[in-house]
Amino acid sequence: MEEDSLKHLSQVGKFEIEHLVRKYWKDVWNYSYVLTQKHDIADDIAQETFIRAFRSLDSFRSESTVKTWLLKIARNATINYKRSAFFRKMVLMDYVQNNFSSPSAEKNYFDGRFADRIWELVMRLPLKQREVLLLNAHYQMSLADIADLLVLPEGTVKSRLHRARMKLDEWLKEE
Amino acid sequence: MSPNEPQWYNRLAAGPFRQEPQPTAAQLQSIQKEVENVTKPRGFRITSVATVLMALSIFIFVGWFIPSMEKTNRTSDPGKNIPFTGKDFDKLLSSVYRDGVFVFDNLPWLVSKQEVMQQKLLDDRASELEDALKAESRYAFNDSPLNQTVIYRFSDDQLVSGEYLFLLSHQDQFIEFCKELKTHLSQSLPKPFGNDLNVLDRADEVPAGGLSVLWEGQDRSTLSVYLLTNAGQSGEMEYAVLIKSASPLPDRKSLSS
Repeated sequence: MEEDSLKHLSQVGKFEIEHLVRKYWKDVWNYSYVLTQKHDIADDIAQETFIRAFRSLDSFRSESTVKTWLLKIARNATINYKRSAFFRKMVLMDYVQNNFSSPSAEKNYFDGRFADRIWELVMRLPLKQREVLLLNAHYQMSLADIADLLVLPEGTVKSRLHRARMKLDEWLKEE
Repeated sequence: MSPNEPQWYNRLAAGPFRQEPQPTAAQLQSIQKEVENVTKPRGFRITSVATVLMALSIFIFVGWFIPSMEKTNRTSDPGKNIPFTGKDFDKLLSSVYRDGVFVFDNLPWLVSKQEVMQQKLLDDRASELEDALKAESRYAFNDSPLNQTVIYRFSDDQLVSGEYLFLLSHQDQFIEFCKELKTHLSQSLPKPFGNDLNVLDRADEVPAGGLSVLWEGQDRSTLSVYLLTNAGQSGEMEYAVLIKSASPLPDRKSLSS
């Protein structure tokens, strides 16, 4: 199913849903993972993103690509998740025990499984810089499109990207 | 590749993992089910149920939640049971450190939940968490709103740790808060046990895992200060300072004793 046929939910059949999910799952999942650094949460957010997307297909505007539109939904879902998770970990659970003890088993397990060492360095960047670098380098989005997605001035995107690149350059030289 | 792009840029073209993520059959099924539920024409029933639910939510919010907020605020009146009001760092630090050991909110360790409630004038609403008491308040710090939460934690109905959580919404305010806190910590407490106070100078760029400093008292009680950041609802950042005091661990028991 191509982008121009994304019209209304009632016109999307079971086959098209599966096709769209399979086509964009990787993009949505990778984005959520880089923002949260948690496998299970990326799974949940990806699923939530597609449910929200299909429920609001009529809000899709053809001026953005389906991928950008899905990333926008994924970003909002991630922010909502992190907001509630932030409260849980800060107030309802013992933040210290959960986050400041030894690295989690999950972290140890997945740290060794990045396809390229450079992804480990990307994950060390502050969230704001990591996100901009991901959108530009991995998703090949222009500064204007990133600014639109993040609802930021283009200059801010540019400076974040510059800082991210500088840091990566520096870390790569140190290796 | 654009001429401005670094050499390593193309290494990020592929995803982070060797194996590309794919939806499982269960995930696909779940998405399809959720979407189908929305497409079913149940117009009038859904609208009616939604209207009733919405009315009920408003009723609960107006009738219960708002009065409960007022009640919580009363119980957590900064003048009564919150030892700290924004700039009063000395008062805060004297409530957690005394004669070389760490305590919490001027309370001795291992007191019961009921005793803390009486002492701090907290009512049942502060007691909704099973092993904790929570009091919240809001006031201004340098002309910006500051949310403070005080949490008392219990194990077997004995006070074993406590936390002051300060939530700030502006980075400048957060940096200023950390700066002032650092000044007072350096004057009131001995040298930290883990990390150093310069951590508080890094409030402008807190990494994802946060930053922390740790002190240990003569009786092995501890005090930790954490700087944390988080992306809020609409992309705006939230900034938090968490000050946690914990009782000394009990003596180690040996199987031979």
